[in-house]
Parts: sequence; structure tokens; C-alpha cells
Amino acid sequence: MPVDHQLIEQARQGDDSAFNRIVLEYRKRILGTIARLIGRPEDVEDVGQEVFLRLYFSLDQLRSPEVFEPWLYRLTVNAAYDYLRKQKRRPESRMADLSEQQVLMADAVAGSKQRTADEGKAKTRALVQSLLGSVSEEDRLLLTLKEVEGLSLKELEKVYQVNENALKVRLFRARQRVLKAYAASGGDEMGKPSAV
Amino acid sequence: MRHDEEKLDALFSAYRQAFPDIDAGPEFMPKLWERIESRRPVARTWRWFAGGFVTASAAICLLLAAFVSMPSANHPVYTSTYVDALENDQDDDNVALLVDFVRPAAEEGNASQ
Repeated sequence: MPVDHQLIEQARQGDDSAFNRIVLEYRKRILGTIARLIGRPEDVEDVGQEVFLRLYFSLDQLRSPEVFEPWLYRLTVNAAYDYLRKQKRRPESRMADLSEQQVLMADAVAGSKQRTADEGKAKTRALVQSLLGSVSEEDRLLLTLKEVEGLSLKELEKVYQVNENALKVRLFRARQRVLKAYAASGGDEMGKPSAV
Repeated sequence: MRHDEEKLDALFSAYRQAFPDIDAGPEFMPKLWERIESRRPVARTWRWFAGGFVTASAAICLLLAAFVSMPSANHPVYTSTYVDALENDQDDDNVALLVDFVRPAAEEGNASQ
């Protein structure tokens, strides 16, 4: 739901309460998008805060309130991209590196998560995450915005500020790579989307 | 292949539903404002520095423009010709020597005629 242009204009002029209202309006949607982009629910709020922080300090660079939404998506994609790159650089901590107490805690957390999580959804998430892992971070984000978030090519053009044909080519290639990974993973058995 | 494409589409759609839009916890807004407040002085300093840099650059440009466009009509390079400049550059001693050197030769020429 797009917010009132006047509200954006007020926030641009430094009205903090207007900014607060914009955050409240977009928070849910942006956090959902981030969750699907990065695939780690535990870090969603942190990345979401980073998005709105960047928004706050760059609102004065917004050319007009009409382009606010694609611009917010752009900030979201950039923050998610930075997060994914950081995650890639950060070495995974292995069980052998953890103390006995930490291992016990990890087991307890994993156990409780397993008990509470919907298995079907968890399976779907894991499968799509692994498939999206077969393409670069940039393509993963683009593919998620198009296929999962349902953004049109016109909207993506505004977000990426790239011509539509270039986007089509990138999307086609990324999709082909994912399809290849899907076929290699034995799509028939694993790929049955769970009833959600 | 077509079959795989359709299954992939269904999988993406299921993924969308497996990750519904989530609302933030109660700490989201206070933490966001905390982060904004902590970064505000840095942003202000940076803006002040950038503004100062732009002002200084503009001032230097104006000064240079004024210097370049200043009238320089009184400068000898622009008022005198090359020959005049050469003539002015000769000091009197050299001229006197030249006269002494040229005159005897001319007198010798007259005598031989």
C-alpha cells in the first residue's frame, strides 16, 4: 500500500514522526521481503533496521516521492546483498570449535526448533535456499524479487535502473542455473512443494 | 524441461507462503531510533565536511577565474614587438661596442674606394 506523497515529503524535510509512520507502514512488507531474500529469520530485524537506517539518511537524495517504492526496494536489495556477502566471508563455526556447553545449547535450540517448525515449510525453505545457492548473490536476489516477490519487469527496471532486456537475459540465465540444480537434486522426489 | 519449469514455479510459490510477511518485535522501533541517533553525529560531521569542501572548491574556482580574467594590458610582453623587446634588452655598452666594431670597417671601405 503506497504511502501518501505528502508524508514522504514531510519525512524528507526532517519530520521524524512522518518518517516513523513510513516505517510502520512498510515494516511488515520489507521484513517479509528480507526474510525471503536472505532466508535467515533470526537476522531479518537487523537487516530491516539497516534498510530503514539507510532510508533515513538518504531521504534527501530522493528525487521525487513517486519513485519512493522502487527506491526502498533498491535499499532493501542492497542491504540484503551486503548481508549475504558478509555471511559468505564469515567462516561457519564448526561443532569441534565449540565448548561442551555451547554444543548442548545448540542441540537444545535445534531440538525445540524442530519440534515447533512446520516440517513441510522447513523442507521447502531448505530446498529453495539450496537451489538459490547455486547462483550468485546478485542473481539470487533478482530471481527472488521476480519469482517469489512477484515484481514485474517494469518494477525491476526501476529498482535496478537497468534496461528490461538486460534483466530478461540475467533472469533467464539465473533460472536456467536453478533449473539445472533442481534437476541435479532429483527434483521429482525433493521438489514436491509442501502443502502450505 | 517444461515439467521442471512448472514445478519450479510451484516451488517458488510455496516458498513465498513458507515465509509470510512478518511483523517486527517490540524492540524494532526503539533499536532503529537508537541506531539512527548513534549515527547522526557522524552523518552531520560528514555533511559539514562535504559542505565545507564544496564551498572551498567554489571559492578557489572564483579566485582562479578572477585571476585569469584580470586585465594585463600594461604588461610589456603585450605592448612591445619582438624587435622592440630585443632593442630594450641591449645595454648601452653592447651598443657602443657594436658601433665601434661597425664604424672602422665602414671607414676602411670608404678609404679603399
